[in-house]
Amino acid sequence: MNNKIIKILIPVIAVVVIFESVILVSSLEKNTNSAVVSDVTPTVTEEEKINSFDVNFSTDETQMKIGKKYKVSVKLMPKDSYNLNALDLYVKFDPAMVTISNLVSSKDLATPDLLKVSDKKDVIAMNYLFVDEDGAAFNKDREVVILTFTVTPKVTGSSYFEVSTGDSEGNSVTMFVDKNTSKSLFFTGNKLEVLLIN
Amino acid sequence: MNKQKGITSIAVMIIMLVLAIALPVTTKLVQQNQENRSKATDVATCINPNEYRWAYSGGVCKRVLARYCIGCQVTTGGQLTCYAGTDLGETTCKKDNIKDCTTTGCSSGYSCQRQDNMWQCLKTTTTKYTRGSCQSNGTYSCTTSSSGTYTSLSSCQGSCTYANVCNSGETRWMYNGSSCVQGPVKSCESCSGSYPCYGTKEGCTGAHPNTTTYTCSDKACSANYGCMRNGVYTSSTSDCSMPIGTVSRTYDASCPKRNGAGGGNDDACTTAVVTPEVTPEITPEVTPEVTATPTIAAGEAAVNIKLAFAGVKLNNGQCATNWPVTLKMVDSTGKSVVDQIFSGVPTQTASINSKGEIIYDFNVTVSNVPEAGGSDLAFFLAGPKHISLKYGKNNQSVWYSNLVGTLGLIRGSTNSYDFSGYSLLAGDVTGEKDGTPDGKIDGRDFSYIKEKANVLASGAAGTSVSGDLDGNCQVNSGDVRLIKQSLTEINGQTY
Repeated sequence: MNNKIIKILIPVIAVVVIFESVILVSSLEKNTNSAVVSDVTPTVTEEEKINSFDVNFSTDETQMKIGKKYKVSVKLMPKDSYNLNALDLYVKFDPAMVTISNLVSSKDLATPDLLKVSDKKDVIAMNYLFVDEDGAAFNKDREVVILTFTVTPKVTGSSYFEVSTGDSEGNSVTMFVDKNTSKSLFFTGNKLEVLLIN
Repeated sequence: MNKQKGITSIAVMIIMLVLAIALPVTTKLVQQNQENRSKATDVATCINPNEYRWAYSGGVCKRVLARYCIGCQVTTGGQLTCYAGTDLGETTCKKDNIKDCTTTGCSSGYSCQRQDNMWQCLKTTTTKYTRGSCQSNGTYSCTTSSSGTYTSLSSCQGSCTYANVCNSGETRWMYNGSSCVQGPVKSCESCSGSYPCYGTKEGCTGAHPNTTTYTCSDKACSANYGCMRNGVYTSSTSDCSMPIGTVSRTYDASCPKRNGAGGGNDDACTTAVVTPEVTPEITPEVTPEVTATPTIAAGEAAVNIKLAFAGVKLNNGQCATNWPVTLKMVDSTGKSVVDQIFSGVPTQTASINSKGEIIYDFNVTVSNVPEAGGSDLAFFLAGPKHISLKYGKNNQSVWYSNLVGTLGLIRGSTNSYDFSGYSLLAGDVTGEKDGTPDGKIDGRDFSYIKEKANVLASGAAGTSVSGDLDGNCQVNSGDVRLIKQSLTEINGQTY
């Protein structure tokens, strides 16, 4: 009797397993296909960018005392060699926390067309328009200190500096404009956080 | 033997049973995993078109341009929120760890804040805003408070201002010892008691002990406003407090017309004390010629604008033909007076402005004008290679930085304005897409024009040459100089 039941059950379960395998795996295939579609669709229009520049802030102190002056540098590290026709750099800061002064541009470059601390936009604005036919050459892995400025803390707390990629009005967009394409090259940047203390 | 067979059969059956249960469970888990991955792809979208987003694609975390995001939603705050990303320079996506709180909300003590380019649940902290940060927010209004700290930018709004401080973007007027002059916006803060400053030019009137020494011409009253001095309305048109066109002005014996023109408004006339003129004769202002034109249909107004394109000069603008311009009229609240952007090709005249640039006539007919017309208007004009420029007063010759314009629109009349003294700024020739203007003038436009100038790109007369700003049919150093001038002007005003 038991043998009979087992003899019947084994093929039945075997059929169930095979059925499940066929149905479930095929449904899995469908899902995989749909996942691929949602994955691929944006890829059609996506632009993968190659990092062309690293923009980094550096300072000797990350703790700054109120009233004292500290020097901060903005360094540009080209990941390849480029000739730029224009360079627009905007550094965001909080004017309620710090005072910015003594802006100094790179000695390797011409005098910037714009270099100022903007109290209207709370940024340090630096623009270069390179009129030379070849633009300005930036060589691979050769770091350029493009800007230094002095920070004087006003109140305690934490404050930060970072490269602006644009405000709500579309102003203050940092860009490195390639001579060959007249397009803005892709870049990465760090954020400098400092602690303002008494 | 039979016993062994039975045990084997039972073992096979158990394995098959396990398989029968395990298969659907495993399948479900795999499906769940796929859905999660699919959702992860959907989550990563954008903040604004200039930012980058991070997205999973093909199992790899990639940086993509935000503008290609699909399905972004605009919140009531106006920000595109369907975003998950990471700091620039990081190599791993954070979206699996940090939920987008704009949809999920946050628990007590936490609020949904944007930090590191993401919306995150962060512990609620009270940010103290000072007078300076409130003012830089640009939305405060004047009160007489002299000190204070505010806990949020919203509390700044409507309260974070001080005596003798102008509204953000507003022109101040100050008495400099001899006359009432227009001063820079923010330096009001340093005004002392002996040099008070005012948010409007009316405030200058009679407020300073030495008011007798200044005149209407010192105040540079706009075309839409007349001048008032020591409580006496001396303007040929109206008093400073009422814009032309919004009141019915009369004049009588107590408020005589001057230089053959009209007097003040009714209220002004009744309160004014007519005294002998102390100041020299005041030349009537060049006001917009508001004339009744019989051909204008009911409910319509005609607008005639004189304009110039930067660098386009007589005998040198063979390719500056059929350059279209657009016009938008905005009131003091920032809304369009009529829900329409006007466009057309202005007509070249034989006149030139002080820089030798050709003056063009641009005529539009505005329909559905409210009966009261429009006042305190600003006009925004843009050209084919020219950014949208704000014109807030007639005969404008410099950048208009005030929030509110002084222009008017009178129904049933031709409203004429001359903006040719401040020509449209040229240089918007490209953007993210090659050769397509993007409404901004920046380094990309400079590079585009410079490269065209390096090869002296040119075209036949009557054609439009990309990058040719002065319309001389060739891109050359003159165009490079023009875009540099535009950038200098824009940067000077923006920063």
